[in-house]
Amino acid sequence: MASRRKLLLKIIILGDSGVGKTALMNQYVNKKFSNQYKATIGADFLTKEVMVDNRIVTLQIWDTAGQERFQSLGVAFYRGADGCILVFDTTSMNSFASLDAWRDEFLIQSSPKNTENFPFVVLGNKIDLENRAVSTKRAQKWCQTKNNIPYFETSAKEAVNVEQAFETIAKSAIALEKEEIYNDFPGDIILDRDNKPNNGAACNC
Amino acid sequence: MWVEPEEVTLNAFWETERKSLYFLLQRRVGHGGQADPKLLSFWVKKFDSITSRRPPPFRILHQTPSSNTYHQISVAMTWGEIDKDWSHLESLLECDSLPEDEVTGYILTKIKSHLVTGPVDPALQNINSEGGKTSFISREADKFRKLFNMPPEETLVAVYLCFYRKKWLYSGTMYLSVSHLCFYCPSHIIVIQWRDIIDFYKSYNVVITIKKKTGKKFDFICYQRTSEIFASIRQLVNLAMKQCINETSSFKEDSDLLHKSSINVSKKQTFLKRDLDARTESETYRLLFRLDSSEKLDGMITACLHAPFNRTLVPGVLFLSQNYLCYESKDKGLLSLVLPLRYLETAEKGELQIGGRVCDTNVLIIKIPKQQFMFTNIQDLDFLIDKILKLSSKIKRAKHRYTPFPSIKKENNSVSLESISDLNWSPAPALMEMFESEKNETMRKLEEEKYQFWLKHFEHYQRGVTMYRTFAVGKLVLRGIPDKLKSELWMTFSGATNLLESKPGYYKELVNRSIGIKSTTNEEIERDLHRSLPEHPAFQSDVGINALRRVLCAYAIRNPQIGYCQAMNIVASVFLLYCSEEEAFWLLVVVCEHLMPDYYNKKVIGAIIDQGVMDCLVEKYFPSLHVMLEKLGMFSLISLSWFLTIFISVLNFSCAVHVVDCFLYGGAKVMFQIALSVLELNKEKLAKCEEEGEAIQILTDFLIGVYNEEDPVITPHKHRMVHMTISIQKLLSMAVSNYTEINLQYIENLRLKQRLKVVRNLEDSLIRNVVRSILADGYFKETELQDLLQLVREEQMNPRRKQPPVDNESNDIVPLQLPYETIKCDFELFHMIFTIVSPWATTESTVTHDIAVRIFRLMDADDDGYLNFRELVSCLGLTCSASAERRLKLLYIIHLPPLLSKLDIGSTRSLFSESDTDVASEAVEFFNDQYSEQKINTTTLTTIPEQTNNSSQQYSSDDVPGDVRSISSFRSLLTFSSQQSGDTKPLPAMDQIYLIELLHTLNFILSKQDAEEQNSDLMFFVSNILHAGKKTNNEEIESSAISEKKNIDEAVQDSLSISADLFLAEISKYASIIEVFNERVDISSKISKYNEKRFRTIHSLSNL
Ligand SMILES: Nc1nc2c(ncn2[C@@H]2O[C@H](COP(=O)(O)OP(=O)(O)OP(=O)(O)O)[C@@H](O)[C@H]2O)c(=O)[nH]1
Ligand SMILES: [Mg+2]
Repeated sequence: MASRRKLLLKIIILGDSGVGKTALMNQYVNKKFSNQYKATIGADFLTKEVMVDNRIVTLQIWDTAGQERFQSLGVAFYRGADGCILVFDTTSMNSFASLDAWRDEFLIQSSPKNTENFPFVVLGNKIDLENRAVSTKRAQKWCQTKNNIPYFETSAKEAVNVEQAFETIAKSAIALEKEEIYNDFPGDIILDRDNKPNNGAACNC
Repeated sequence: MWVEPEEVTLNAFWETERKSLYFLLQRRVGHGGQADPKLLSFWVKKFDSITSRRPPPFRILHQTPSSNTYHQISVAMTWGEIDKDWSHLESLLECDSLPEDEVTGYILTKIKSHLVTGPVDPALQNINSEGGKTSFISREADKFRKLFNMPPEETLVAVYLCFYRKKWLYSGTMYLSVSHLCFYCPSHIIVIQWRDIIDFYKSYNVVITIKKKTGKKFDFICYQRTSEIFASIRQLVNLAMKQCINETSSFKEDSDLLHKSSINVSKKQTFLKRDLDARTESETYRLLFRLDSSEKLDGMITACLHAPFNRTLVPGVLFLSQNYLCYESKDKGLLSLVLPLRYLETAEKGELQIGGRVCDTNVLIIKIPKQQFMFTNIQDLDFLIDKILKLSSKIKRAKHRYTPFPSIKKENNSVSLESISDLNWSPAPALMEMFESEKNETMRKLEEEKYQFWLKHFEHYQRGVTMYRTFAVGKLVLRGIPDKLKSELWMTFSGATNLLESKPGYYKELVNRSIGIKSTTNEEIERDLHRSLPEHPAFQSDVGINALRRVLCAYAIRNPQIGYCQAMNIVASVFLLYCSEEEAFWLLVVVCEHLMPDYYNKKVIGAIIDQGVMDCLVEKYFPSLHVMLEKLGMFSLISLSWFLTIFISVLNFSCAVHVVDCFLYGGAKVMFQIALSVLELNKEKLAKCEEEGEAIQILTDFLIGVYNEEDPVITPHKHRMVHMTISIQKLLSMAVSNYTEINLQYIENLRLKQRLKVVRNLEDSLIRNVVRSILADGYFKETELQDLLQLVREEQMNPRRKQPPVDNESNDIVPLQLPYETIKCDFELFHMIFTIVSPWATTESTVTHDIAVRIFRLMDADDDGYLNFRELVSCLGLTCSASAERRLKLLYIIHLPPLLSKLDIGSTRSLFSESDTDVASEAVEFFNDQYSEQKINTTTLTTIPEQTNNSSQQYSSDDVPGDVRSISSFRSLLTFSSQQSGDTKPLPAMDQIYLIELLHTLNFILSKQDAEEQNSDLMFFVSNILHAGKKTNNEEIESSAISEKKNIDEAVQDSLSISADLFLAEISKYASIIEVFNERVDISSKISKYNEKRFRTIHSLSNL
């Protein structure tokens, strides 16, 4: 039953402009760092297939624009997200201070079923740089107050912790998925049989 | 219908139908009479139409007995109406027999009195008072304000007679003002704000339907001037939406437009109505010819332009505005012309010869250096020439046309000491000159070929701004503009040349101003400089980066409404490659302000609107695809980056530049055409998609695969395999030829409709977000918060209010704001709202004002004179819905220093005696007694109580206006008391003078309820608290007497004090008082009551 459910996980990356969202996504998907990315306009996405818990899962990673004025457009992108990566720049206090707003906005807009356990990870990026402005302790403390969000210090440039961070979010997204399947179990069967005859064919993979 | 009596003369235009002793009933010739002489009636009709005078066809005149003086006293559109008035007049004179010489006076007064009471047809009235001194509109405006309770600054635009349809038809008057549509008839009063309208349309030619956001519809039936009314509504709605977008609330009458001295201004409308019409016309004109936004159309006249390239006369329209003479052929797109008056040498009458023969001697000849233009078939040629010369005499002549910066020698001699290094900049030339891209032999040949084509074209059609613009240009652009000509033609077609030439030196000045400013905007720009066209070598070097920085920073200063929006960097960097820095700047101006209106503003509204327009277009052209995309969800955002970056970010570079060619020539419609073609080409694939990511992937892959026939080197995109899909040349020609219907006007119409939706959605989602972000505070229900926020938003848009400062140029860089932080409320607004909802307030009371001031100060955490919405809600919640304990604590705190200073008390004291509240004065007396007793006591004691000592710091800083620290500790006591009661410090004790104030306020709050029981309870409480205070005080003083030695004076001053705990404990003994403080106030009902009072919204006999 579980493996028949959707194998596609939609992950959203949020954070202020210039914190390295695009760089992180590309490092994870393409294993490359380049400083030739344009600023993200609107949104962009990449997909990657990964094995999680012996299952092949397609991660659809959405990279959004960080500038504040694009935030109102987020609604459409956030909908149906399975996990959310919050990114700040460890050399910029402001980008860290914005995390609250990003998280709130995401929860308001996507209104997930389960606000409490919704899968988040927080990435403090650019740790390869010298001029650090946000201490590990401080970031960790913030994560603790928000229901113990896993925290990673990353460098998209030097590929530090990127893989781990994405794996973590994928795992917790799947975990939540399973939980929901469990909860929805009886209803699902009825739905599958009566209302969605086509679904069977599509899921025969 | 009765009109202001006006003396008239009899003439042949009118046929007398009836005659009595004092009156004549007349019918205008050509309106229905069978016996009218044919020629005359034709002539009158013609005259009426030429002068666009459509006087009502019936009138009644009063003839002063035995004289030839006639007064017009009634007019009507129909025989029935005039007949009614006639009968009335007959009855009027039947009962009164008057001496002949008094008749006229009597009748005229009588008529005037009818005017005041009886219904007036303003439209007709308007016509008839033309030339008269009566200010019809100001009278109507007064009426409008009274009827609907409108503030004086609400400007009336137009008044019409119409029917409101609701089961029956109700005849009444429709008032259109800057922010409202109102309707009045005795049984119905309707007030609708433009901002609340989500749709409006016309049906059966006479029914205008207005749909409010609540879903309620209003049908108005207008038999006359329907299209004018509809157009007015449209203009006003549009204006209101644009104001919402820019969040400005002030409507400025454009005095230039009002006083323009043109031929075709009718005086029959209100100034504002004329202003609005002129605005719309001017806007269309500016869009058509890509002129600066300050350009105002002065007049239009039909004319034929002589086209020298094929020796024909092309009929069309001449447009004249302060700085330009423009022409467009009747056959749209066939031929057009822009003649800046700054080039003008002469404008004169002359003759036109074709093939050696004189064709016409009545020809307008316009000469500019090296070129002349001829127009024929102009009606009022002398007048026009005069007008042109007058206008051109007013403008500064361009000595020479613009030539790009003559490579500037260093101008650092005038540099001030502080900014030596920075001001030392010189503008960059087109970056391509330095970083030329590699081209192979065939490409170079192709380029040269195209170049030659263009040169030939120039020979025929002229070059530069004043070129004859024909279909031929469009075709050439479609083939692509050669690199060498890009800057010139981009500048010409987009209209940027005109801007640049009319503001020489402007760019340089902006750059100099922008240097060294540290702001969020500049920080954002800095971050994106290397993320614009990073793959191009020009932007891997300082030359390119510095130029880009200057252009973007200069623009941010020019237009703070936009500042900097991501995507502008990308667009600007392409401009910089082909154009000089100054040219690139002006191209950016044109794109941001004319071609893509509101695209880059603080909410990218323009782009969202155009996504909506795109959605409509998809629905129209590919209905089944539309259904499918709708199901996938977010299609509406797929094309966002296409539009925002003019396809530069999604196509490969050499294709994107080609799109820019077409875009700058054809305008926004080109992007829609391309986007539709892209969808068309992928229709089948898209139909099979099951999920939005898949659909987006298809389109992205497709766009990356677009290639340039003439430039075989496709830069392999990032990491994806590129499959070539279609050549840009094919794509563009398909786009342009398949979607010809999509023109500027078409898009503008769709945009208007979308604007309504988008503004409404943004407002709704703003309200939703803000409300959700503070719902957890627990003061109010969701609906209450919505109502409250709605009220705040409405008031913020109110033109009476001054706007909160926009901190664009502020130097601090702030993190992302939480939703509620974006709503700011100044004291004035807070006071108003507090008065409306709070149980602690009554209107027009100084006590309320004082309470409000102190609560405001208490809650204004960053002390900037504004409360954010969350703070506002806390203020209100703490008086409306919090527990009695918290409310009493608040009451206690706002009577403590530093919130209440001794100075304040001084000023309120006087009020004290004025207000004859028993309790208060009793309290004063009591205290006076107490005070003298204390004096005696304290003389024997040398210390003051320990407890007071704790807070002595606060006491000593008593009169310092803002002891921010203690205020913030108070604040946290109140707002977080429930969660973290553990580590809060106890409230300081209260001194007697403050206590008096507190009791006074308490009395004020309770007196609002006016119940016997409370009054007596309050009496008991006051006397008990004072006794209790005295008791504890004495005990404490005794107990601490030994431990500390203190200044006696101080001890006297602070002699009696009451602790917060004591206060709370005492007061909670009185159930009736506590009950008052526990009462939950429903702010929704209070707000709706207020709204009802504000606008008497629809209360009618039939109870709508
Ligand atoms: N030193 C260092 N630089 C990084 C790192 N990650 C990103 N950057 C740089 O930071 C800049 C911004 O990175 P992006 O990935 O484009 O930022 P973004 O979050 O996608 O920004 P928007 O698209 O504007 O929202 C680029 O110049 C990157 O080269 C990192 O880990 N270390
Ligand atoms: Mg990005």
